[in-house]
Amino acid sequence: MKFLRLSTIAALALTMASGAVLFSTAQKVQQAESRVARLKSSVSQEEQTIRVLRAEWDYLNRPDRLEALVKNNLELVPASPESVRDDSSHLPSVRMPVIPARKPGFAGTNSIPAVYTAPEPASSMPSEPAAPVVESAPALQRPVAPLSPKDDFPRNDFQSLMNDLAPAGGEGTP
Amino acid sequence: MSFTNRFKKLRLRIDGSKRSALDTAHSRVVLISAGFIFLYVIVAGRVMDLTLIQGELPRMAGVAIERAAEPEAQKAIMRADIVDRNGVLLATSLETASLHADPALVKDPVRAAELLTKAVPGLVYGEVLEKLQKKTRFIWLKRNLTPEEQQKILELGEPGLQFQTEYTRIYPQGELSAHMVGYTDVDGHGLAGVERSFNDLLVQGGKPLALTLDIRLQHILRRETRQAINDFTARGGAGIIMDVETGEILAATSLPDFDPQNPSSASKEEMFNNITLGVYEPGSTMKIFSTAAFLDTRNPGLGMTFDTSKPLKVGRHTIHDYHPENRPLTIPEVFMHSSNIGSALMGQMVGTEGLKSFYKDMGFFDPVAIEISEKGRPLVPNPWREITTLTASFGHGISVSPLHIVAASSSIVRGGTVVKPTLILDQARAEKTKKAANGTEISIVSPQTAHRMRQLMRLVVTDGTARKADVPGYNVGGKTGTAEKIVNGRYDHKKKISSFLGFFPMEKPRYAVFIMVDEPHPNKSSYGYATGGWVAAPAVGNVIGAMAPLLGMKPHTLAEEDDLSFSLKPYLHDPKKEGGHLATVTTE
Repeated sequence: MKFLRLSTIAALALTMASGAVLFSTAQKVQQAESRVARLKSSVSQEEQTIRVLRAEWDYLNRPDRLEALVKNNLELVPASPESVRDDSSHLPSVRMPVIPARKPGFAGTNSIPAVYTAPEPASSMPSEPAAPVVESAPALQRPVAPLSPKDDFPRNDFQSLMNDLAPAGGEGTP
Repeated sequence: MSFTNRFKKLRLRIDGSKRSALDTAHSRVVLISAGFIFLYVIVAGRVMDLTLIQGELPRMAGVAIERAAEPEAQKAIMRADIVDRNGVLLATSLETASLHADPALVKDPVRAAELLTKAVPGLVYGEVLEKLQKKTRFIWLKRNLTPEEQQKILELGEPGLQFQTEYTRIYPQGELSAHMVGYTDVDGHGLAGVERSFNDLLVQGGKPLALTLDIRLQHILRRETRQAINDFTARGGAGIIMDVETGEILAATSLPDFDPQNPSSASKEEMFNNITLGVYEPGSTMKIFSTAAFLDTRNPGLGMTFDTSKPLKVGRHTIHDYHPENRPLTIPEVFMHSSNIGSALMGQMVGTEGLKSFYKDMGFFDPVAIEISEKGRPLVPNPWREITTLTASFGHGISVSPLHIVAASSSIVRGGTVVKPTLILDQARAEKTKKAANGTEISIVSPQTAHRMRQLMRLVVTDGTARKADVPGYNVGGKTGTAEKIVNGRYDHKKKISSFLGFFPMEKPRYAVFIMVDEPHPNKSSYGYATGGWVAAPAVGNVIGAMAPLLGMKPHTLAEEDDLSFSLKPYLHDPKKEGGHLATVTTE
């Protein structure tokens, strides 16, 4: 029967196959497109978030706020003209920071000098290279995370700025 | 019975000539059936695709199925940010939601209004209800909701309430630089400051606009100016820090100031820009210009004396000194004691035409050239009479803005070439490269005069009216000014404007610092004075003491004989020689 010739069957099979391929390609494209759209919208959302965070960062870093924070919590004072030195001869000679050997004897003092000044000639500093002592050393102190300051400042400062946006409810930035 | 069997039966019955026609029909039927089967398969596949592959699978995989409808198309252009010279945000745009409603879709306006007013604090029940009962399809309920409010409204589930994304202008620094940056209205049109003058550029979005301001210096200047205002219970004030070399305005503050986030609640006085819009009789700071004009045009010896022993009478006017020395004064003494009579005599010798054209070159006849639109036109007497020449020499009878004074005197001390103040960083850089390329600068006084003026201004701080402005190591120089305000057409000696204009370091001036205080009242610590030397000079000293280390400038302590003012000392009256009495407190 000429209807079921081999070429016909082959053509039909080819059509089916290419149809299937086309279908799956179309599917892939659609999925990729929807992924692109999702990514784009999430990128623009991230961008918005970054903008908000940047604004919040600069809001929280207002000079007057920082000044008040430093005044209340730290012992730092603004640099005065007297604290600017032209020559470095007054400064003690400073070496690169040395990580102190963790000898048991040293471990007694809790403070670790971040920078140590050059030892004087008559120093009783042990000149031998610090031998790594493992067994007798006390358990290494974990670096202590700086204590987070008590949250005196309301974290939602920025939120309240946003709330103040409406001309009706505003009484100036806090 | 199967499909083919039926056809077989057909073949049995019909035969002969009709057979081929029947065959054709038969195969056509098969083809058409196959076609339809194929179509139905496609439809079934598509249904599966829509329901299962696109619908269920992603949901099972937990992927959000919200399909952002063309994010590029809806992404509106955001108004560009404004930043300071270090990139700190001064103004930025953030996305917020605004609430509007379609009253036709609101089934129960009373209930909706009740819920809405509960969810959003700013709304009033009656107003909302009235709006929701209107016969329109669109009403605004509230602009710029906070994310929290938006969430609450979404939870109401009222289909008639809809949101529109809008952009709000946020000023993270608050009032700190309010007058320079300006503010916008609710639709994002700039109404003042840079927001207004650069509105066309800002609405295009894109790169942030960088100003020359430095927010740290701005804070220092504002803090000290405010301190001076509080200490002397004054009405207001202004302060400027300018880079003398480039004309960049590093800080400019006008007090009282306002919150640009909320300009509608600011008073008129708070909104007023004292730096560029306000014009004032500057008082003795004007002597910088009359003295420079005198030195430049007449080239006198510094030992030249002016008789200030008695008030100067011109027509029906009399010119007094605040603290008369009652003796002939040399040029450095006139400047240092801020003698009105001496300066008036200098102005007279320069001549009306000479002084007028010099002031014109200084830009005192036109609004100051700066990139914001709030600029005051100086008040210049018209016609300019003979007496005007005398009074204008010591800063009365002519009103200019504080920025005029700062810009013009910067031009003198930097070496006698014009410097243009600017607020825009790119502008300043372009100007710099242009100047470097051409090597041409407009000269207004000779370098010799510029040097003389630097010496004189240093003398004011070492020996004169502004000793409180000195910061050891930074060699401050400057000039105090105290002007009486005109109340009902008369000078009121109780209402003053006290100012000080300082430069440092005086060997090669780099920064100009100006502070002006409006109507200061004497307090105990100032021994009853409210003059520029007591009010503004210490504040400028504080600013310099704070800003110089911040900018990493190293102090240079000079020996006394290396100081700029040293060579002027021989021209000063020595009380020991004549057994006379040198006033210890000299004010203008």
